[in-house]
Amino acid sequence: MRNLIAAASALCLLASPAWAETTVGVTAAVNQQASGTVGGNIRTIALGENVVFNERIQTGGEGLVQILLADGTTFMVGPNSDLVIDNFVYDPNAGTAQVTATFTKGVLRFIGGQTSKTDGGVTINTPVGTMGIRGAMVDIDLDPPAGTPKHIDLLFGNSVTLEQGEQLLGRLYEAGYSLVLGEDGAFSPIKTPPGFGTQIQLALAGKSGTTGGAPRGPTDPEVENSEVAENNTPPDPAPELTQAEIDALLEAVATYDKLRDFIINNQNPQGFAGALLVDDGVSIPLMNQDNGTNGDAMYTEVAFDADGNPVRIKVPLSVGYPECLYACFTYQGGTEGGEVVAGDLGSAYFDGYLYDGNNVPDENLANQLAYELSCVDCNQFIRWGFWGFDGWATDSDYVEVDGMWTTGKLTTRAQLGNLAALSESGEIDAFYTGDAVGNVDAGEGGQYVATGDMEMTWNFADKAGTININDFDANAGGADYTYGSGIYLEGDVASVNGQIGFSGALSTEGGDGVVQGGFVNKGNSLAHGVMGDFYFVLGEGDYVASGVFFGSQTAPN
Amino acid sequence: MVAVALLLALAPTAGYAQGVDPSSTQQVPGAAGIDRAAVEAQRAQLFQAMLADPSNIDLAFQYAALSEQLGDLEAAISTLERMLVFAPGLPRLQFELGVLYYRLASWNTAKSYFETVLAQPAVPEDIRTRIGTYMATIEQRTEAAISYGEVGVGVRYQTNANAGPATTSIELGGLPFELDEGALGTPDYNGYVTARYHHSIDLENQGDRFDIDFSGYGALYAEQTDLDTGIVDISLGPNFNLAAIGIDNGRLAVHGDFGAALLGGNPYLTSAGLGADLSLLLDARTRFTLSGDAVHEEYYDSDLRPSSSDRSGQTYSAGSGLQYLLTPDVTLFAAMDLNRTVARTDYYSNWQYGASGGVAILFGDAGTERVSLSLSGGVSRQLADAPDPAMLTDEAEDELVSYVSAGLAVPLMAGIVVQSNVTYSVSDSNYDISNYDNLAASLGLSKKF
Repeated sequence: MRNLIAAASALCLLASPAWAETTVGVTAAVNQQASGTVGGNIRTIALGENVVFNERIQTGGEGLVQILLADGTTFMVGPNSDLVIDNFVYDPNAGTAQVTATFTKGVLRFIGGQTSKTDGGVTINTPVGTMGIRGAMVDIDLDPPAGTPKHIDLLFGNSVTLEQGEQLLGRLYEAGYSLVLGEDGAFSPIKTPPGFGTQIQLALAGKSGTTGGAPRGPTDPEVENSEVAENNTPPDPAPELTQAEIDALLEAVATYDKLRDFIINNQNPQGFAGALLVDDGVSIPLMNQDNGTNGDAMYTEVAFDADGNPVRIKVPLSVGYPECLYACFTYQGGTEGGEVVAGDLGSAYFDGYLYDGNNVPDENLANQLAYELSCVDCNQFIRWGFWGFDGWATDSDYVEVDGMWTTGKLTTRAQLGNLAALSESGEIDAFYTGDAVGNVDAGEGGQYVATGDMEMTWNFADKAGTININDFDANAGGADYTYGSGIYLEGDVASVNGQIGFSGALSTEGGDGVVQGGFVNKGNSLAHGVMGDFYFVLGEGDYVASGVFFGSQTAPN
Repeated sequence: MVAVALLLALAPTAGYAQGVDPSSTQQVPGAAGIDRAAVEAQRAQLFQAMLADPSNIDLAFQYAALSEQLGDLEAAISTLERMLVFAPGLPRLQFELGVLYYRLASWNTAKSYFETVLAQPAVPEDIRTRIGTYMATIEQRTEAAISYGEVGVGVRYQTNANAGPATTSIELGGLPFELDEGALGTPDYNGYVTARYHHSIDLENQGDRFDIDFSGYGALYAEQTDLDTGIVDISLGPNFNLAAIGIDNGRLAVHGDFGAALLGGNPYLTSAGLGADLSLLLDARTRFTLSGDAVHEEYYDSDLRPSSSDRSGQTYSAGSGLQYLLTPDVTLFAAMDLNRTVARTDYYSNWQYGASGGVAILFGDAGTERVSLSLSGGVSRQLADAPDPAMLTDEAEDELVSYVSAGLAVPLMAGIVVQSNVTYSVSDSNYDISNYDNLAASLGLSKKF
């Protein structure tokens, strides 16, 4: 019966008008830039297109392509890579398949289908030798980051051989080992260093905002409720360890612990806060007030307890007045109490989690925001969260404030001076990428939290740069953005009047705003990140947003 | 007789195959109780639909689910990694991928995914806890040296602790003899302690290890103190990954073995030898083992046993075994062995061959400490080279020993397990004095560490 079905499937495959005889597979996911070249003709490839024999697949700096062959074999081609499928033979009746490919540069993950079950089923030609893969999942990195050698990693499976002509250069037969190219030009098998996996995963991960060409991707709840998750991670397995043992082991394990690292590395963190104040139905953006002298912001201050929970925030806000009007206040964590300089405090919230309008933690929204944010590195040295209150202001209006805060170890003036001394005017010294998070009042579109991407360039000698906030509110928590598919803001920023940080104007189609910020150290890495606050207004106040941004140094495109 | 009694006493511990790595498997058995052919056919159809519409999330989820059911975790991984391109950074998807790689023992990649999830600003507490458990296991499994062991203590009652005949009237050389009452089969209680320890050092040569195994057994009898026993055994040597020579899922352990035993408070036996064990995973459910040993045994005379030293000599053993995972909860096992003993005296020299088999059943949910029931039985025949002159016969001894055994292990808490066992054995020999039967029941506690 199985043979009949397999034969019928094969006939369907051959009979399909979209499946030409020269076709080897399809592009199952594509992030641009990705191109295919056959016989000198170049095309931009998209998701769901056929890949043919000898088609050269090339990707740019953010390109990512998964090629799915008819037998289930996949090639995940990373950025700046070059792959050609030279030959593919598949016999569904016999359940055998053979593939030959040429991979000349970049990073690749190979997962075999039926080719894995066929002797001599997989041959990949590379500049460093010819690989034979037998029943295995393999990572290949021919262009690793500086300081990392070229390497081939056996993730799982039987074996990988590397030959040059008749000479065997190396062989892997135990998962968790890598062939690395030494300085002497020879390959040696070593236990795969943990960093290899992290680098490959970063290279093969789509950037925030990319979609692989799919009209929509899965959501966390869809994954959680799927049959895959039901079988793979069944709910509530009885743990073999007690909670205390797990916690202790998590401490001992070399993972990110953003709370402890942050507290250890950042004494008295300071930062910025942006918020929306709603007064009589009108949303007014709030930012850190400047100190009135050299234009530096009076920084938001956050205090953390021994467990790394934020317990106190002091936010100097300005609505364009020279004095703190609504809230120069110190607020103790919780939902009650606090002191205010002016006005009476009603209910308030302050924590790392988003609260809904009733001051109840909204984990769904927090989780959704979590997956929209891209700056994983930021979590090690920048903290951000939500805050707000509602209460009576001095002018007897009842106001509501919803905001974000971000804090870290700000780079000092002296440290920035040292960086300036090493900088050349006109060059881009630092390129930051990260996220922007803000409260939005979209008028009839409602009030909600939105996210976007942030990019910034900077020259320490010139004390100037550019900032872009892209794709803001393109995919905000359930609410439909009424203005299109994301807001794009750009601006020039500079340190003016002796500022330590920077500030500037933001412009966008139909609106403008203001941005200010500072540099953040990550341990001994000076100005490793940036953070700040921003606001912008579209039209006549039809759309108002205020929030914070943060980012980490990356290599420029 | 004493040796057989000792062997039966150690039978519950026979699960520790010497020098064999139980942790390495390159194939993942699929879900139990599914019609594989039907699921394969359904998956093939889904795959064709997925080729035509690779961005279809529903198709992808279904295909990944069927792949996981069939144990094809690689296909599930490639499908979920494609979905991750559609939804970059999705924490739950990265968690599922981490677990899939974990199940394939691809520790580095699993750890990368888990670390990425933990770095998210808002990780649900249950996910964080589960990742912690996985990461803890990864840390243990990737350590350069792995150790584990078990200690146990218990009480055993035997209807015939000294393996003596049921009657004092026996025939020797065709003539009737009356045995001393003390030689009769006699019931007795004994307390016992057991200890096992395994230490394995990763030689960082693609799966080669150096293994050290220790086992110990001690028993003190209430009445028959001449049966008081103390045994220690140490085995050490390299354990090679045979994938180096193209044999996938195979291991070869070569070991030196050293042992010593006390009996009745006196030195009874020391031994030293060499052995080799071959273990092959034939498929995801079947393991085949082959072993061989050559051991020199030196027995010592004592007041209780003035001619023990006549037993000294060499023993050469060969054995094979098969373990088959009928379902994830049920394992069938069978073994055969052949031994040749060349002792100082020819009536203690013998050929021995035997076979045994059984089933081990696990109850309860996977991932928890589970109740296990083991049912086994076996037969063994021993043929002496020459007649025992004390038996006044020109027939060499021909003894057939058979047994059935049932064991139940019930976990209590904190790694402590209640172990119970009932074994009935019968010896049928042409030497009356060797005819006996014995019912033994034991109850004890063991703790893994």
